[in-house]
Amino acid sequence: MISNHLFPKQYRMIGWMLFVPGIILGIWSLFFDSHPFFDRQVFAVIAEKNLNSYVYFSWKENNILDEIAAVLIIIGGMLAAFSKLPNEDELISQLRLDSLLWATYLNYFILLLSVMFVYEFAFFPIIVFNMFTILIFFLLRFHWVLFRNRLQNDE
Amino acid sequence: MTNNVKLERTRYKLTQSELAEKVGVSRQSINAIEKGRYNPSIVLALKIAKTLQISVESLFQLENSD
Repeated sequence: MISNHLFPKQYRMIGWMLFVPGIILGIWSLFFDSHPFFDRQVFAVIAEKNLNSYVYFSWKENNILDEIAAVLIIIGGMLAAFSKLPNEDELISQLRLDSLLWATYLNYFILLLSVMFVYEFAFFPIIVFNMFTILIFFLLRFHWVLFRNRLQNDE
Repeated sequence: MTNNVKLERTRYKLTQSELAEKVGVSRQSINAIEKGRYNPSIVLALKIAKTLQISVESLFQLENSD
């Protein structure tokens, strides 16, 4: 049975158009200082006031480039990953499910190794990447099995 | 699971694309079923059997390993 919880196929291209710039922005924000244009007042439900002290429901100034990148990656990635394909049928649904399982296994295996072998502030980038890696692994794996399936079935 | 989909399809003089269109799946799905790479759902198996005018049990057989 084909899943009814997929986005319409028109959203797939929108997803890629958000996801790829999001990834580029995210990588950019890792290696370069952000432009002051992105320093904005934001509403924080929880924010750090100083070490071990928090403020709740307040306005703060924050550079939002990384937040913009994260939103683009998450929304774009979800649309790209979970929109129907033009030739959607039960075989594609099965390949999608298998790929999602594989991506989940891989994501948590890497996270488990990181938990055991990466410590203190060096773990922070792991947490950041882990927000997105399950989507990225899924997209890579799903499109690889689609490509391999197309090769095998065009013989 | 083994199947005679290819045999019955050619006997019925249908191409993979034609059978795929009749049962509402892609040609690649029919190809994957015929090559034993994919086991169809009950609904799809029944649709294929109905299209080829043959019983499901004649079309799909369990193997010892199933």
